[in-house]
Amino acid sequence: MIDRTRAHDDAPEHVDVERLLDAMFAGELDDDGAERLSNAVLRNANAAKNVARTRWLIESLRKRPAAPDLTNRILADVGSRRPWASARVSRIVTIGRIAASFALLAALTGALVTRRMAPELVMPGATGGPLTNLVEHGGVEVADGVRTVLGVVRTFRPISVGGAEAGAYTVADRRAEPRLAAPTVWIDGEITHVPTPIRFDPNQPRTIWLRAAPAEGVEARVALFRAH
Amino acid sequence: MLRAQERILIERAAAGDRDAAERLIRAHQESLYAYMVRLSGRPDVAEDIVQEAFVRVLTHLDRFDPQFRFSTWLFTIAKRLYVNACQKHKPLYDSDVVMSRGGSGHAPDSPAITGETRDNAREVLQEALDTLSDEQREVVVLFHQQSWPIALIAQHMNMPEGTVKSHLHRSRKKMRTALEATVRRRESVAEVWR
Repeated sequence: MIDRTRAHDDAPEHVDVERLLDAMFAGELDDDGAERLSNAVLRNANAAKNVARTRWLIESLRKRPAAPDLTNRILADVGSRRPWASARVSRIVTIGRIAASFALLAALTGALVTRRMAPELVMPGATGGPLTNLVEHGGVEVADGVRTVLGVVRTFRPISVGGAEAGAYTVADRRAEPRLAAPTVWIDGEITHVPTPIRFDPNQPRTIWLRAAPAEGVEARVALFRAH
Repeated sequence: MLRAQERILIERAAAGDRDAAERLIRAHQESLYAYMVRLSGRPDVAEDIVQEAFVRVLTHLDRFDPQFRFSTWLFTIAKRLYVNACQKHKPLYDSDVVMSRGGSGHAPDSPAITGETRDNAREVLQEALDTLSDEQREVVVLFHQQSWPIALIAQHMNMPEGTVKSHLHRSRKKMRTALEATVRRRESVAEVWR
């Protein structure tokens, strides 16, 4: 005997209706699909019946059965296992927790801002340390000191991570802008006229960091560098 | 309820605030009950599971992971309790279900039952749901009743999204077939009574 239902189920238009129904319930039915589904429903009585029954099932499923109110039973049960705190105490605990969260958030934000504005304050490891004795004794001493530093730069430059060239030396990663009160004594033409921190990749060992810092009153400046 | 608002309620309930716990219960008990009724087909079982799930959750709020939704956590615990209860009381639950759905010893198609109890849309729906496997039933209830997105159902049930879609497709077909059978049965019953 021929199974007419099965034969109908396998018909292309039927399969298409099933696919369109799936798309409709998944919220993925586009305008074209909606039109095809609508046409199928109009043309095919069986498709119309299937759509209607599916819709009925889904809508019935969405109607929630009346639920008993179990609140008091649950609260009593929980209370017998773990006593409820008074409203005042629990409010204090909650406020305390929220305040602690805000304090932590504020501290983190402050640390991030400070790190951006003045990295040496929050990143002790990245702060330049005076490895040279280059202090403000006047232009000649500074110039000598800078030459010493440059010697170090020359030594390290070939093994450091590259960057843009400034003068004869590599200037990399200008993350921190120099804050200089007055022109710095640099050897003209060898580094740059503009005081610029020379910074190689801080994540790499053998990194050097040359920076200029202002001094008051004299033309001389302190040059710091550090090796990571 | 907004998630931020819910997080505050959870914090307060964890600190022992009864009012906060009450608001959490009121916000979720209806949907959890509906889910359990459809899953188990038994209002009394659903009631027990809902109560126990809330008690478990409210006494272990410190274990709540805020990256998940509270409802997902609650539903997961409820389902686990239901599965455990089914395993523990399987013969009892099964016979109860048969009695409650089939009536007292009548054949399923007998007019006494169909005339009295089957004339109810909810029962027809439950009959259709009963034709599904446990997984299919849960997928259908979560998607169509609870309006969970497919991705969340997949995560909750630990299966690929494609499997969820396939379950939905097959389940709708199966339920429709069951509905058609019920309609046919009713028509034949109506003829008997005529």
